[in-house]
Amino acid sequence: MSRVSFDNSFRLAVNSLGQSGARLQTSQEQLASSKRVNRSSDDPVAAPKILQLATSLVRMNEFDKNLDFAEGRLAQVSDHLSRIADLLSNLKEAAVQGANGTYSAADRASLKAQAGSVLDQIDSFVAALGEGKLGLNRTADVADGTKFPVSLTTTDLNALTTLKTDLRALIYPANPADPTSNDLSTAAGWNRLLGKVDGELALTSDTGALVMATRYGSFYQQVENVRDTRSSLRLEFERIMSNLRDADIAEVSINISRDQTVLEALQKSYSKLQGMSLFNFL
Amino acid sequence: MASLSALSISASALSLARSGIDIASNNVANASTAGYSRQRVVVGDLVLGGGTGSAGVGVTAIRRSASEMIERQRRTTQTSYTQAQTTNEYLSSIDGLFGAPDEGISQALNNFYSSVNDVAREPENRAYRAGFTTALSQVKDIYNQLDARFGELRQNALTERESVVKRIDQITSALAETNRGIELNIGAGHEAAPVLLDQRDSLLLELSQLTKVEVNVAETGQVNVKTPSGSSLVVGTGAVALSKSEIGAGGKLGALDDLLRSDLAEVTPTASGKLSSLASVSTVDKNEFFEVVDSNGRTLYTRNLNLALDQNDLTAAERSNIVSTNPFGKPAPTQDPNLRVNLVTPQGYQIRGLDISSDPSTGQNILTKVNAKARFDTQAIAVVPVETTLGGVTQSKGAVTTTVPAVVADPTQEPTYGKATQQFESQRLYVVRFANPSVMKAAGNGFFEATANAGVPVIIEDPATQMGVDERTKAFQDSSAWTRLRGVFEGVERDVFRAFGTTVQKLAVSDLSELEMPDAATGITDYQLIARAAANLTSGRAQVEADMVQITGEIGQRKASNEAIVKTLGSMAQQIDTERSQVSGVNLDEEALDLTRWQQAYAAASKVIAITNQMFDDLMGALR
Repeated sequence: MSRVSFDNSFRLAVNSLGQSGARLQTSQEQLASSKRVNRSSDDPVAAPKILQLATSLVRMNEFDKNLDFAEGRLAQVSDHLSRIADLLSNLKEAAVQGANGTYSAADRASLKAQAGSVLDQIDSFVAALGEGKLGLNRTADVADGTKFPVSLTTTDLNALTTLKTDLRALIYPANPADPTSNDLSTAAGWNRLLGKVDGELALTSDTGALVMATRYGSFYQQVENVRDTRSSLRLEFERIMSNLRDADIAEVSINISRDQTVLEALQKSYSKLQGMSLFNFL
Repeated sequence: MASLSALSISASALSLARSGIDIASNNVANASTAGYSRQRVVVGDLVLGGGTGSAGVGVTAIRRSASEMIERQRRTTQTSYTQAQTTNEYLSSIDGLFGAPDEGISQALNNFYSSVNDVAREPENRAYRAGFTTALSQVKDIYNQLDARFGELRQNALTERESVVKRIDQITSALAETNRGIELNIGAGHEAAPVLLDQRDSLLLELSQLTKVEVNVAETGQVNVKTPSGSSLVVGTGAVALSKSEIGAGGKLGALDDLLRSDLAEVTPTASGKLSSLASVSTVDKNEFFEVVDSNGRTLYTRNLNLALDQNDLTAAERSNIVSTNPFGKPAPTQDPNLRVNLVTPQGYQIRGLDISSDPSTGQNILTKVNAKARFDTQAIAVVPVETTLGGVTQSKGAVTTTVPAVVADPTQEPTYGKATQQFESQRLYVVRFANPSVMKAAGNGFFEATANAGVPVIIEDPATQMGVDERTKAFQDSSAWTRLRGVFEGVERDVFRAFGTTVQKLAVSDLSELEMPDAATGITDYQLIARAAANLTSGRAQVEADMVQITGEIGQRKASNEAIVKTLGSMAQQIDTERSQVSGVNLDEEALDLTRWQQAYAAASKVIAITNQMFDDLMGALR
């Protein structure tokens, strides 16, 4: 037969009340913070995963900022390159007309002025592309291990600079009197100009303006694709993180209610037990 | 006569009943006294002289209800339980320092690397540059706070340990006094008084909570107490103070000693060498940079010889001007495409006199002081790094003067022993070798002093202590959370200095035209340097993140494991306490019954006396 001492029942009650109170406090903390994991020891398995996910989401935000930046810059670059390509098409039209043997000198002079105007516009676009504090060869990290160019490369800018130099030489030759120089007063001169422009617009030319415009345009498109992919990945990460980290408010509320009930029951039973003694009847 | 015998016999019964009531009331009074063992009266017949009859009843002894076996179990359990509880308290504090996994330190580091990303993308944006220096300051502030908090915890543990040792000595003295009291009892022909035995058990219990002890209980009730290592604490009536060198094997002392040797161990790299190794091993190829690392593992100065430029930005002529060498003294080809001096990892060496207080936020030079002293345990090579001269631009001038015979030689040439003072007109890489380091060591003057102008630091190399990545991983895992945290933060600091070098000053420049101006020799703008430095900085990020994940997970795991141990041991302790109370505890109902029993016995004995008295009166009346 086991004996129940006065001190033992008191200690058991104190321990039980303490444990019940601790459980209640934990539930209240979860409710207040809306988090199931408020410190690493709350769930040592989930804690490092939460940290990894949080870091991944931060990096996604950084990549998004870089994407926005890349998008803006690439829009500008591909727009300028497209305009250059369009201007070259206009120049080609003029060159085709100028190469027509039936045109008069006055007609060709008019076309030359038109070509000069196109060249000036090409100049300004090329200058704009080469400007900027950081200049050329800039890239932006848009994903782990993925960089997108956000400015022209040195090679591309050099190609455009060479283009405008060559066009200038063809439109405004240094020595018009030299029969070997390009002279836009002649059909031959216009044919040479046409050949040059055709070369730039050829899809087979890697350094051609049209191909360049297409290339940077495709970078711009790829930026959009990366963004779309990332947004669904971000949602998934956030979902997983929420499952690991966040408290289920309904469950926590039920736990609080249960813990409160248990605590009250313990308190009542102890107070009744303490009143029971033979001394009350002596 | 029978009536006279009845009187004395009844008187003995009255006396016994009074004793019984006294004992019962004492039990009731001490029902809630911690450590009290219920007492009971041992009753025995009083025998007439010659054994011819009974002379009544008397108290043979007053004994307590106790079990030595249960007491021993209780002590053992309390030793383990208290140890686990104490460890849990400190682990809770450490766990709390880190906060939620996605907040606190981790959030500060994430913010920092986000700001690095912003600067790498748009260095022309002044707000981003300012944001970077602010984020770095915040990281440093948080680190300093954490480091200070760890220091406080350590100090708390040390102070608590002192108190525990003092209390142990007080308890052992009290036990010796208890032994003396028991000795007196025995000497007077009695058994050991229950109150003394209770006092002895309470003291032993408290002692077991403080440290693990071995207790030998004699038949008389006296105890001898020893530590597990065999040192006596109580021998009879004498007490011995706990030795200062005694390491606790359990209880609170054991927990504190474990913590002070592990999680709260002072970070002394000269003792462990680990932090030095952790901080000085690059997260990138260890041959990429050279740096000044002191024995605390702090990177004092770092220099990338190609000044954070990409190799593609330099001409062949410029690259040929750059000297690179490996730490084993063999010069690498000058056309080395990495264009960097190999890493040196001084372990256990102390470099003082260098100003390490500058930081990117103030824009000061990393190195402003010039005197460096270093202690050498082995033949060491001091490497004096210099900057390359690009485009004929000399970076700075300096001189190295050694106080002991040494050699200053160009590592690309065969070493020739020369004078101890070498003047440098332009900064290049030189090696200082000591002619006779054993003499220097024997003389006790293990220092050499290198005086150099700004930009010419001295670093010490010990080729034998290069640590590989696997070794670093193991050293990291074997280290305490405090050590690892320091390694992480100092790794971030090292990465910043390595990536930016003196470019860090550019961050605070407000005149944008300065930053846009391309360098006359290289054509590279400061904006480009900043962008590239920021991009280089992210190379260490993955390691920092991995380290933080590991630290966070392990701290949480240890705390949770320890909590489970505390719960289990707590249940065991509770169970044993229940068993003890079943044997030694006071049950008020039992005492109430005892009181009524003794009361009735007293009343009955009184009645007998009254009857006997009446008989005597009747007899006297008849004789008159």
